[in-house]
Amino acid sequence: MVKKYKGTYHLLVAQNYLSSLKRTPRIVDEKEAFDEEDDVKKQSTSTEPLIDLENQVVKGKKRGQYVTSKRSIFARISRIVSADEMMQRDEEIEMRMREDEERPGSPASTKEGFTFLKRLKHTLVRAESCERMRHASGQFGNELRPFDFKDDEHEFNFSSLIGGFQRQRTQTMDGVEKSPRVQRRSSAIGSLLGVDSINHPSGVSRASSCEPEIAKIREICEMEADEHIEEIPYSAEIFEKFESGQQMHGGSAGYTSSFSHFRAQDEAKRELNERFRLQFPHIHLTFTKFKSIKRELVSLAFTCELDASTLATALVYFERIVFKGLISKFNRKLVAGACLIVAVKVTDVGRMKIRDVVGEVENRLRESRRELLSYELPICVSLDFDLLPSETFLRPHMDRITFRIV
Amino acid sequence: MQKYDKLEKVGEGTYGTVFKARNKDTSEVVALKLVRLDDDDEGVPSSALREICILRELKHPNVVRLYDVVHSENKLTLVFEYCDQDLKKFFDSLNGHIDQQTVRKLMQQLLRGLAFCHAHHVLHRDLKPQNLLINANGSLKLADFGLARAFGIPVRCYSSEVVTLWYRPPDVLYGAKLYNISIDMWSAGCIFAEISNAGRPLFPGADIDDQLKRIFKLLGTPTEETWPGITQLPEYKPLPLYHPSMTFGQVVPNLPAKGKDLLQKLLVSNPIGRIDAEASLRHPYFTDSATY
Repeated sequence: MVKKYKGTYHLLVAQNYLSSLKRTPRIVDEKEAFDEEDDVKKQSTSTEPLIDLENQVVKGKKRGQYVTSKRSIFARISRIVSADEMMQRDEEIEMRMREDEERPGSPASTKEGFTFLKRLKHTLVRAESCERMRHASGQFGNELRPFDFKDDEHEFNFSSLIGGFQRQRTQTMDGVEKSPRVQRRSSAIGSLLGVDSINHPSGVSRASSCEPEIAKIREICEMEADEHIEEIPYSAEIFEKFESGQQMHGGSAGYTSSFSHFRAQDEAKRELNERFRLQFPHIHLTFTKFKSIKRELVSLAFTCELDASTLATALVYFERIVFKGLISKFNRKLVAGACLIVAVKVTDVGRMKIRDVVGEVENRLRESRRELLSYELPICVSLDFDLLPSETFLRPHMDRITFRIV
Repeated sequence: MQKYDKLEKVGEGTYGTVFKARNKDTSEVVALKLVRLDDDDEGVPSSALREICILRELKHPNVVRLYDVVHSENKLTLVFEYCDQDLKKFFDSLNGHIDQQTVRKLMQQLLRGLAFCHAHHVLHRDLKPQNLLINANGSLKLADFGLARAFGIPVRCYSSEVVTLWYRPPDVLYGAKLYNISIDMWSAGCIFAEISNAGRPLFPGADIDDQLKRIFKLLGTPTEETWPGITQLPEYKPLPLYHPSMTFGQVVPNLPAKGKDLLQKLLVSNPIGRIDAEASLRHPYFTDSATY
């Protein structure tokens, strides 16, 4: 009885999700989705669809083909629904899952409905980013992800970022490398950096050579660099300028402003986000979400009594990563939180201990500590370990921080 | 890490074990610092992050070079240039006697490295003999930047839990939250005296109070007249007014007069009065070849 009820509930929720998806412009075409359903292999271990999906990405990459992009949303949702029902029967697996992905003691995590929703959300986010990827030139999610170690021996080598050898590099302001390519001292990462993503739009064959994750980060950076950053280097004011440009855009300033007074608020918001998307097509996050996560960081910094310079450092990290197009709806909170943690570690922490700051970030952003911390090194790598922003980058942020408060 | 053959354990750093190793491709000898990452509380140790992001900017003959960082599942390996020993072990091999020419050479290199760091807006904040590496050819390199930080951007406060007690300046002992390059210059002064005495520490205090007393017995207790603002420091406590009971001649008997003069300019209680690295390199102790 209960099970039956739950089944309908799931379907209802799924329908809601899908109908709301239909209204947004960037959705998976339903028909296409159905057609592609045949391509999807049924998996026996369907209790962990997310993890499967991840594995698929890795496997697919190795074979040089992308299973992920062909998978339909429906197939995934149905798998989750069935998985949820299986979970009821399989106590053991459920326990394991809870241990794996939930914070212990969180009452919400024990509710099956919640797990279902959470995973559904993740799947949809994944699906969306897959879809986005197809629009963008890459075939992989160009978002920052934690390092994926295949075995004990597997390792990533960062010598090229440390600059342990002489190299020529023409550098844009945010440290994105351009050709001429690096002369390598050590072989491990050299081959990945020598990669030219423009000539090989698939990027897959070369990425598979040894460290796909890091190659991915580098490649995306280069790709984005070639497409966008070349024209506009990252500067601390770039997003601020965008926002202040809000009232002035369009023909005469007077007309626009009087018009905006009568405009519904979400209409304005929608337009702002649309304009943001047009101006920064490589950033896969709406402007309003971007702003709200920054506000979250500011208030976190106040709770932890962090110095303005520490907060400014974190904001510079975060904006640089956003600007590189490495952010997504899925990783935005984790990346932002980890940016703050890294900033605290390289500057001095105030009265609180680093451990307490990490705890505060964990609580406020409602993300697991382990996941947050798994983003630390990927962040450092995507920033080329250039973790000490110059005053030109910090100053505008610090001024804003000061004025907003005072 | 298949690229490296571990040869022997060299020591324990602040956040991990250090190994001597050889690069299989180039047969170059390097030092590997292993940083464990299985601490789920804090993630990557802040000292490792500091060391990486600061040393990637600092390339100088008197600063240890960071060649590489390797990330494997549960540890981070920092690959450094290898040095034969640290200054502390070098002291042990001296048997209480050191050649004054060597003192000058070591001190000059220490100050050159420091001047370079300061010019690049980096405070070391943990200078001590264990963190100065020495090669067989006599070259000295600053190492262990785990407490280092960038400076120059106005900050409300720095951490006052920096520098090993014996090498900590009086202002930081009094809890000063704002300091600058003068913090490293005090440590350099203490090390200068220690080198010239072949390894006898200058102020081996047992705790903060003892440390302050030892310092003021040599320099005299500072007052609001000699050091305006001292009473405002967060952890200021009045201490007995010592008058210098010892002279520098007694403390560093082996040092030539110009060396004593430089030492006196480094060991000034009021941070404002301390000489900086750039200026100390221009001091007659180094420039005047007729010192000996």
